[in-house]
Amino acid sequence: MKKTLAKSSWDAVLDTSMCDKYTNAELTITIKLGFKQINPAAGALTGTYNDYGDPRAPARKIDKWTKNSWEAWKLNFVQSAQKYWDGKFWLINNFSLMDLQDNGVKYIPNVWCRFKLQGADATPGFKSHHTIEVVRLNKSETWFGSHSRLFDSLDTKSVAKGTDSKGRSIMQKAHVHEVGHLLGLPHVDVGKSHCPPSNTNSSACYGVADTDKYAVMGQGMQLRDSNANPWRQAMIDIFVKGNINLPSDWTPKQTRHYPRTLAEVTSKTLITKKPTR
Amino acid sequence: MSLSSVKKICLCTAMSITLSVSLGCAAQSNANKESKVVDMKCKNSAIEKSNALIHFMLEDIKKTYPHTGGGGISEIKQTQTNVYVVSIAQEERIDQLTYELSIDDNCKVTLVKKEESTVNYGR
Repeated sequence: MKKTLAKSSWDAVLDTSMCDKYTNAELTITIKLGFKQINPAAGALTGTYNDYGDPRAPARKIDKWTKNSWEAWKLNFVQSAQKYWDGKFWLINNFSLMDLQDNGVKYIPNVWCRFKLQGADATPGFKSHHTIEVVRLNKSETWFGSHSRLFDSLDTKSVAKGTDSKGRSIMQKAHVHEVGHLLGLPHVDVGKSHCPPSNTNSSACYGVADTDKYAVMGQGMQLRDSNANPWRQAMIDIFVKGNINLPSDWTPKQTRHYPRTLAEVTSKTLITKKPTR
Repeated sequence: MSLSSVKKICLCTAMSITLSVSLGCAAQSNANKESKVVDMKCKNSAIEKSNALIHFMLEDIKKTYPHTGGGGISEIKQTQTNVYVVSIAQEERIDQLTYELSIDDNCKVTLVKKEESTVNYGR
């Protein structure tokens, strides 16, 4: 069985065809990105471009993309961001949906959260969810003001974003954070009193406590259970069942949880080691 | 330690706390006879006054601003007398720190109010 869900920012497919007493269903969210080069004006080899694409912001030196540098950058972006987000969560099926029979025993699979990033040049022929513009920074530059629709060639590299309470650097690759936004994830401290709802890009929203600073939707690279919310929301939308605010509905886990029998679901038993069946 | 030495140390400490700029402790201990000129620096020179105010803000940012990455300070703009907005470029945003300061004729700077805001980009 395959069920699909189309949203403006991504598509999702729930596939249960592989399910058996050991194998969970797979929910794959796919984001299609159209990449667009930003090159120096008038065909020049070098030029400048302003942070955030805002002419009031500082200008940085940029180089013209070459075919090789462009293809290599796109490939690295897609592969590394997909690797970061793919297969990291399992959703616990407490609804007894998608059940299957094996030797007269009913099993309830959980859901493995998969992620696919498809990137191609932004052309009218490629139907993308988002278009990303990219500048190629000159070697003399170390930083460019980017955001979820405007990247620079250094955004796939790990850089220090902040420090923790002991003064240790917190490293992050900007593109995985931005892909988190494309999935629909907010900053780590959104919803907390120090993060103003009117301005969720405020610096406090990137984490105040060390544990939040180190989160990928803060300043670091660590996943949190709440980062599974796009997949949880997709399950809720596909089955029109559940509530994202209820922890028991499609509970996210960061380790593999095997399918359960009805009795195990009822007793709320979780199975993290391959059972003998 | 002589009493005068103690006084000099106390003076230097006090000056460090108030961030009276351009007055190195060594220079101060040798320049007491010029103290009238030094003391009036900020009354007589707008540049000295700006220097003291900007140094105060930069020291405060160094000590208290937690986001070490990004593009650094992209702008320091005076919006009113003794009120400055410091912009710090970060991914997705510009953090803005608004300082309201007071300063006396001796270049002693005091923080009246500090507010944080953000200019958003993207999303």
